[in-house]
Amino acid sequence: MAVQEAKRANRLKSGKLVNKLVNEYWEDLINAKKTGKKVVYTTGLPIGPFMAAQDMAWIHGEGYGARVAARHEEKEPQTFAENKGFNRELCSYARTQMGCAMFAELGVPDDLNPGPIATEIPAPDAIVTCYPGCSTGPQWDWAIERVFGKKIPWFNVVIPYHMGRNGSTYMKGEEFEENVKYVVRQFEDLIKFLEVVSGKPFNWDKFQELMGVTKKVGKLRMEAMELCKAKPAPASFFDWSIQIAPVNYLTAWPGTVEAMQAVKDEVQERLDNGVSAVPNEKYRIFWEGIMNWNKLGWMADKFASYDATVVAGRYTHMAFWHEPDTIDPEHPLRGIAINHLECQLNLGYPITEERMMTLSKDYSIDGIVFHGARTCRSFSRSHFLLAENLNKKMGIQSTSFEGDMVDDSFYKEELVNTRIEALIESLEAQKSRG
Amino acid sequence: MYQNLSSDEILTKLAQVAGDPYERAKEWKMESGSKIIGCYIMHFPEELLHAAGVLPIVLQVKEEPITTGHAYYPAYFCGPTRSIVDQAAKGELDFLDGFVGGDYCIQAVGGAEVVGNLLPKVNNMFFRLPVGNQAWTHGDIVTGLKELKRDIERFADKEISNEDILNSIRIYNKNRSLIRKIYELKSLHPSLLTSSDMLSIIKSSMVMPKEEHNEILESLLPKLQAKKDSIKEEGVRVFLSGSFCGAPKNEILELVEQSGAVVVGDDLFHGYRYISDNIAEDREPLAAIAAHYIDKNTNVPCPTRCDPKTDWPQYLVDSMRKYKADQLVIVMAQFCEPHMFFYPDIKDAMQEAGIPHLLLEISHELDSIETIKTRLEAFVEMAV
Repeated sequence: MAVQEAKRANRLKSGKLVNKLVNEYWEDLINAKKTGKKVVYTTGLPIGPFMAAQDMAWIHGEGYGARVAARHEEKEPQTFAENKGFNRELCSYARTQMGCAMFAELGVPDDLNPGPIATEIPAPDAIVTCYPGCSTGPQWDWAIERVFGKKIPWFNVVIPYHMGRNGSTYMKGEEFEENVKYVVRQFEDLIKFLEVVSGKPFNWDKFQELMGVTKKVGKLRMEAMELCKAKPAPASFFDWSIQIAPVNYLTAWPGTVEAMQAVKDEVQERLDNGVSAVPNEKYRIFWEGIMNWNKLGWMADKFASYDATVVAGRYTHMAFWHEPDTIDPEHPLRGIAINHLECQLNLGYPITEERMMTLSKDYSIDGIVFHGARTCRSFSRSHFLLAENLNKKMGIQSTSFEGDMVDDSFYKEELVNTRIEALIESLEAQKSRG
Repeated sequence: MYQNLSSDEILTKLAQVAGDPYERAKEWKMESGSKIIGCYIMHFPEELLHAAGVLPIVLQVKEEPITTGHAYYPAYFCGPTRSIVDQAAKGELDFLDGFVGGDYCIQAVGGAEVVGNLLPKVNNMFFRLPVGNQAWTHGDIVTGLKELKRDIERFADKEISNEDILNSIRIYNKNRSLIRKIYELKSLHPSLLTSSDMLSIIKSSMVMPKEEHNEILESLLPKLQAKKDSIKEEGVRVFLSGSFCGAPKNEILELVEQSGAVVVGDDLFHGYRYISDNIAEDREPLAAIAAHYIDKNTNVPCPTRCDPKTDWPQYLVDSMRKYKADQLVIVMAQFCEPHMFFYPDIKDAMQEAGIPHLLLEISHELDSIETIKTRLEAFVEMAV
């Protein structure tokens, strides 16, 4: 098979707009204490608007880990966490943030030389957990609470697993409705908690306005992604990975509507002019698994070199305000609950499989890459079943390799190359058989 | 039938039940014509299932290497979840009629999803047990219990009354009380029973009818009491901690004792954690079971429960003092996230209290038994 290594991914230019917002957000966070803002640590789902309504800053554990890794500063905090006894098989987001938090609380040891981002994290005034489909999140936040001497108030929003009991399916059924009510009730308690932490009544007007922004951004992103059902696809999963920040920890941040509108416009323009994400798209791939943040550019070019567009993924397409129409900005709690309950990690296996099959059909998928993030067992728990059943039911071939979100020591680059090559070869053989 | 057996003979019987953990349940199914529900390891209201007239059993890790299961669950998941997936893939769980998964650990959630897929004819249920300890947690656990009760009633085609549940609670409380009496004896006379004996007692309790187990324990207890004063006590006093979900391997327990130690107490799931507290018999039953989940976690803290009012490291320090233990041996299943998150705190607490500890991270395949032996011997030697 001829491999054209010179081919590179044609990434969205407007994607860079998000960098400005990201920089503003971190600048604001780093200076939060100086400007009198309280700081809330969060993990899991995007709940920034709850804090923003109270003029509090928030730091999202996974987002922070990803940022530290994107700046190639993850090794020092991970080493510090490991030296303190945190096993390297623990969630690498958690280890990275724990290391940074311990730099803040315990100081930097003489034998480590962490970068500026890793040491800029302010200490928390409160911790809010909102984790779907993963026990790691609350356990991680509990560990953070202990690092800071068990003095930080902690609120855990329990997002109940949507198994699909008694015929309940995606956004339907008794189990779903019970779960929505349960989460809404917890959000009401979260609001009371934040009133106490911030020392002022909840600002509903601002919250509703922020949820209006969230709905707009969520809608724009879903519409832009759906334009990529076209062949060839004008943008790829790697572009959408970059666009996670505006719907995750940057949710409702000023400028996100404009930035996402620009992204959608560029995708539409590409579509109108026949410009594609990969120069000569022959294969359409689904990325199953969490993103590997320190390999994003490398992966994008790797697939482009094989004329393969990674068009969709469970990580990008089944979470982060993926059901924007359910949000009523006047009464936002139910819509937030639905988006969070029905996100990719929180669904029972039969629902997950059904959603994956729908996406595979909608995006004309030829093959699936299973990225088994070693320390994100929530994502990889259903990979083997999905590989077998999607092949059996839809004839979709797949490959898999181990990696990680922000710990590249779990990568074996040659193995990754071989596995991707093998998938492309089998897709080529399949196409040549007609 | 156990009255005429010696304590050693009874313990051998229990070891046989524990060694082939599903055989007694299968016999019971043949005898009774009733149904068996497998519980995916920790935190299940067995009493509620028992009240429906079915036999709940706690699924057990098998010591054999994982083979067929590799095709269904990644190798970087914990041994207990992989072992159960492996058993399902090999058809060894086909005797189950029902199956209950839980949400206390993501690896258990994923394992239950795979097992549900591998056993399509088995009724696949789920127990939602919200974590934490807030003002609303008790009520939320009651709701989870009501959901499970509804599903069990459908499964068993039987309405479960409060009296049924209360009756089951009494039977299970009796079992816990009897085992705690054995624990009391062992803490005073540690050489009376080996830790493998204790494991057999707990493990057999998890996989056979509790009524029958109670009968056995009622025979065993007086025989142990009669024997206790004739036992010579020697060895370094060790407290065993950890090993969630899966039983520690007998090989490891034997190595601890062969190294010159006696086990004076533990907080293992296949140990004191399983029987630490009774359920109140004077409350509305579901409210009592819910309270039990909160209370037992206060008494023997569990890292999966995310209750910041509890302090597992301090509990261990206190237990070491209570049992006059010299050393702490921590058995951690490889890839056990709840345990891994807590180890740094335990390490710090032990260092601060001046208590020596040894962490053994155990892979399911036990590929480093010689290393474990050397480490244990060197560790116990320190206290001699």
